[in-house]
Amino acid sequence: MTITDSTIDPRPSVVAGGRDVHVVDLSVSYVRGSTRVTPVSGLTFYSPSSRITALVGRSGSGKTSILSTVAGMLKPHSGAVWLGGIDVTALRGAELDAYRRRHVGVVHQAYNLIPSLTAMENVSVPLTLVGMGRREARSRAGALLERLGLGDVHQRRPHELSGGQQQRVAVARALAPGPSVILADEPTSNLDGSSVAEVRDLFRAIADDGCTVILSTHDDRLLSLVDQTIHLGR
Amino acid sequence: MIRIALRDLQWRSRRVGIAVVGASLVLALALVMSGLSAGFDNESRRTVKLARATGWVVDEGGTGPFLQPSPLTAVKVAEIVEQVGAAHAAPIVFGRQSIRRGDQTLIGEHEHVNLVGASPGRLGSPKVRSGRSLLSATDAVVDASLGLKPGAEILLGTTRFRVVGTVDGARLLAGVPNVYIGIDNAQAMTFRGQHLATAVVVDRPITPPSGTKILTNAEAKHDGLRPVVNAQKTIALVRSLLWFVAALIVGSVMYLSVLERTKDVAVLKGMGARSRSLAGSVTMQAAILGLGASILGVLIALVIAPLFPLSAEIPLTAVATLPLVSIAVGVAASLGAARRLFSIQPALAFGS
Repeated sequence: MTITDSTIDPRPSVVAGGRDVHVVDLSVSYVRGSTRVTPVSGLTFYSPSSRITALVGRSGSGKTSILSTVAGMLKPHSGAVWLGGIDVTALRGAELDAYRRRHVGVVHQAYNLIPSLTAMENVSVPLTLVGMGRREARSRAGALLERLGLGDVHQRRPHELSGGQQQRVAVARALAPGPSVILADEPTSNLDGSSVAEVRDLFRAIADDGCTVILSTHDDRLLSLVDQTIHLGR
Repeated sequence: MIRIALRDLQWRSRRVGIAVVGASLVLALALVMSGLSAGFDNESRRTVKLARATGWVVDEGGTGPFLQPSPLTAVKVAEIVEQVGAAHAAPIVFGRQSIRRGDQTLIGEHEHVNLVGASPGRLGSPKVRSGRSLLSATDAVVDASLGLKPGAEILLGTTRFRVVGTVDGARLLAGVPNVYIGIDNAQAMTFRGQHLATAVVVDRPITPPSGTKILTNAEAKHDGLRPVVNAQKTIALVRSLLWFVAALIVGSVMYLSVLERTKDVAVLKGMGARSRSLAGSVTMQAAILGLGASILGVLIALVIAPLFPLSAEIPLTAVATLPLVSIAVGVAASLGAARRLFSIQPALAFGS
């Protein structure tokens, strides 16, 4: 069952090069142990650029599966995901890698920063993956970290940062290649109250810059920020 | 990817260090094993070379000059010498004899030596490194490993000799030093005075008389190696096992590293990193590990080789090729880790 609370025009405009995400009749299933699980069945929603869409539901309701599918990291059982004019579900191999490099930024629940790299290097990784030179990547990563208030922790490794700082480094890393869509998985689950407010403002600013933001959450403090809520049920 | 791989090595420096030390010890042992095997080869080659011959005439029923069960008679020896002249052919006697200093004390741990009887000034009599060559019946030229200087007195059996010169690396039968004396005394000790010879060395082509055959230097060297052939095969097997252990060390470290970094790999794949690039970075790490282990392994081998009772003559080619082989072994050992890496799904990055 899917309930949508939305002020967004549900009629999508599929435009090549656009940043709108259109999920059409999406079903995701996988085998866990000996049983087939179908956390998402026949889901359709539209998430335009400059807007924030929240996926809300209980654990196991398919929030992460939807994010993984939009990110091009999980193949759906049926249905399609479009980003602008790109049929994400039709991409394979090198095209899919390129899609992830160019169009998707992910903020993971546990941040998933690479522990051996400094904050600056973590943010530089997606930039070097898109072919940017090391010096330019560092310069851009530095600017992003400054923008997110992390100017003094460039050279610190993740374990030397607070949870809020790691979160912002993860956001900087997701933003670094200038993606079309930012996907955030439970972005406030490990944060205290003041950090939640910072993250809320941060995602608003990212959306205002033209990105499509889709996040999964069950944090009511974030829901006041979003433009559209997709309630997922089983 | 290269930078990430290097940073990861730095991040895991303690574990990488332990793996490098472990692999280097194993490689050092493998290198020493090569040295022991090469030592056997070299001692036989040098013993043959010291005779300054191009051919070795031996009894047809025998295997060679050193392990000859049926010696040549004086008649056969004369027949051979007659063909090319005394300047180009000379009999030698090879046997085993107990050795003591002139005062009856042991010379280190050497209780026996290889006795080589040669005619002074002729083929078979070695050129010395220090002192002078054989001249008189009581002269002895000894291998330097005995630690005797010219002027020292020795007892071979019950016969007293004076060391007049030394030669380098003249050993046989797994490190037993050679002692060169006049052929008459050697015949007295080995054949109870009969004028027999274990071989006639020649430096001219000859037609071997009936009942004899001629061996090349390579065949003569092979005869000297005959008692240690099984030892060499064992060493080769142990060396192969050591390489395998080194590969296991590198491979297991790389595999565990990939297992531990499953989430990092998933995150990188999620950012669009190609599996091939990531596998390349793992391979590069394994190559660095292999290279580090080989460099340290060479240094350790150079330190421990002299501690072995047998002469470990580590070949330069083995030292030169060790880094290349180690890199290859490291890379091969990392294939399991690379394969594991290919199977990691980027979606694993999601979740807590």
